[in-house]
Amino acid sequence: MAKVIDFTPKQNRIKQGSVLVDVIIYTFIGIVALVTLYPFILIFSNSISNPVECAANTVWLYPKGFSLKAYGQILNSDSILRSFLNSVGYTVLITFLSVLNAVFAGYALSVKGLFARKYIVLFIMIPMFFNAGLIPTFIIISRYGMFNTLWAIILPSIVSIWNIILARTYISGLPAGLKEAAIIDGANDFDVIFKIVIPLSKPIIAVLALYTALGVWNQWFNFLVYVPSLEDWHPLQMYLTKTLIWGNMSNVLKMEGNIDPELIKNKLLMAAVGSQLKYAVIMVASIPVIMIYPFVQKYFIQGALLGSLKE
Amino acid sequence: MAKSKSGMAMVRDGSKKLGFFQHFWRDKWLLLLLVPTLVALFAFNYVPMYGLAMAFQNYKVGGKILAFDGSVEWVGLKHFYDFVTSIFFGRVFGNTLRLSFENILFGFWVPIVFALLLNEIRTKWYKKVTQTFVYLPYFVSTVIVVSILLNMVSTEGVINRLVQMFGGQSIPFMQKAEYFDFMYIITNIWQTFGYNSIIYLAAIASVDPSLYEAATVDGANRFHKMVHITLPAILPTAIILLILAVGGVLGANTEKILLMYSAPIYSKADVIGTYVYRIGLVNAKYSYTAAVGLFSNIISFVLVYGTNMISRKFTDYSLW
Repeated sequence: MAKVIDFTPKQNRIKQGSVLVDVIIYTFIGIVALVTLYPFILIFSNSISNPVECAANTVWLYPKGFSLKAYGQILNSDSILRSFLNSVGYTVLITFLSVLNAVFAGYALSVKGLFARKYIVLFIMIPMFFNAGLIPTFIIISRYGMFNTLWAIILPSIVSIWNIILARTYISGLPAGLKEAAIIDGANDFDVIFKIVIPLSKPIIAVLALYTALGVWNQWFNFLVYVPSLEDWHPLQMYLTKTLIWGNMSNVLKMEGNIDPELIKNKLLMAAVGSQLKYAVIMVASIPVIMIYPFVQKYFIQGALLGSLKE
Repeated sequence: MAKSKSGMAMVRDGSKKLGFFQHFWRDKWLLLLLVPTLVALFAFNYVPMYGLAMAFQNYKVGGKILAFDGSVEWVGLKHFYDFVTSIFFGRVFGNTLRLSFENILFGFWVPIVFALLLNEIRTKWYKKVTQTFVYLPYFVSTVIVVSILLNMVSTEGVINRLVQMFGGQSIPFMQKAEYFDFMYIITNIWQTFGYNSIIYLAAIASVDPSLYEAATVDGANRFHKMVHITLPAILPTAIILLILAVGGVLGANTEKILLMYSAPIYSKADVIGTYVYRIGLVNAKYSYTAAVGLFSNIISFVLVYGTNMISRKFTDYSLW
């Protein structure tokens, strides 16, 4: 085999005396990463520890003992499961509608020579820079009769100006020839959208869908404002707010459903599992995001860069 | 050019002269695609702007918003005057500005330093793992962030156990106004520094590698290269983000503060958004808080617009 001479530039670290610097930087970055992760470790360790250790606040890093009793109780709790499923429903529905609408509107706005395009763009952009504010919006939505109905949550969420702008920018950048060829072959606007624009726009659709889904999953304030009485329809974040943050007597996280017979015999253990519930609930609420996130990280990185680009 | 049949798209030519209705009719299917957007924006953004008229009257629930038949009690700028002369004006604007500027002062440089150091990591897997860890908090909801915070700083939480270990008394952090700023800022930094470093890392990645090679040949060490090549490369990005952050100073994180604060610390923690929520929705003083919201939105608009103009003038970047 012929000898290949390696021309790749080598960093002469020893000569530059940077081994020490390397060690310092690697260690520092490692510590920062671990400190950032620590709150999650704390919650996780507490959630799977022996409930008695957890209740005694002795778990501060690694789990002490092992128990999934708190998770078991959560799976038995109708109110947590209900709010979890509500969140899944809102996330799927709103993400689908919002991204579809962004692609529709983005496509229409990308067409040169569209009727009144300048004015339509202006109409869409103005609310980005000036909004009426919480109170007038609340009053108007109430006057539509939407207060305490899910319309107040879903309808305003369908339009995301930011998504429309990003979709339009992306679609404008698609090769024009494909579309023209299809149109000459007799395709109409809907054929163009579903057979050309959407297949070619998969990367931007993925980015928009993930950001929208994350945003919807994390919503709670609009539910507090617009549908305070529809408790059965509150999402997980609203449930967490009521139990973990505003946990007064009526709203405290409690054991529900079929309580483990072992716990009924042992009141002390039951109280301990009760205090462990909050850790398990935080984990259950974060797990979907934490599980999905490593696989979709690259889309979020793209999204962060898109957001910084000039429109 | 393809002749337009009903329902068929065309290779549209903007230069062609078309009558108003012809043009409209030609684009009817495209306009149909825009209908949901236009209708929703009209209903949920523009109609509330007309609803702002309630800031100049004493709005009665269910009464008319815009009428001059005597059914509406117009009061002119009274609500604005009441707000500006009340103690809450200084308090909520002061708190909003203070928290925003502290956030910039203590948080702005963190992602820059982190990106510069992360760039020095050559071991791929190590870089990837640490990045995954530091981006994570960005994806966790505000509710969970505040829940974790409450847990950690509670009287039996880890922080207070540490305080006790050093012989101190357990401190009810969430009840003390003097700790609020620190907790607000540190959680903001925790949540965003990793994610914000992405933009800087991209700017660093776009630097021409030959610059570094040339510098090495000239005897520059790693620190020299960082200061003279990498830092200037990310400076424009940093300046734009700083300008935009200044433009957004009135946009303190209302939702997060609502979750974090309680009556004992209102004096330090009440910002415009939480004040409007509390007085407007909870106490139902609609007209007054509509005025407060309008007042702050106008200032906010001027700030965003102004800083964007500055950004556009001095750099190539702007929001629009």
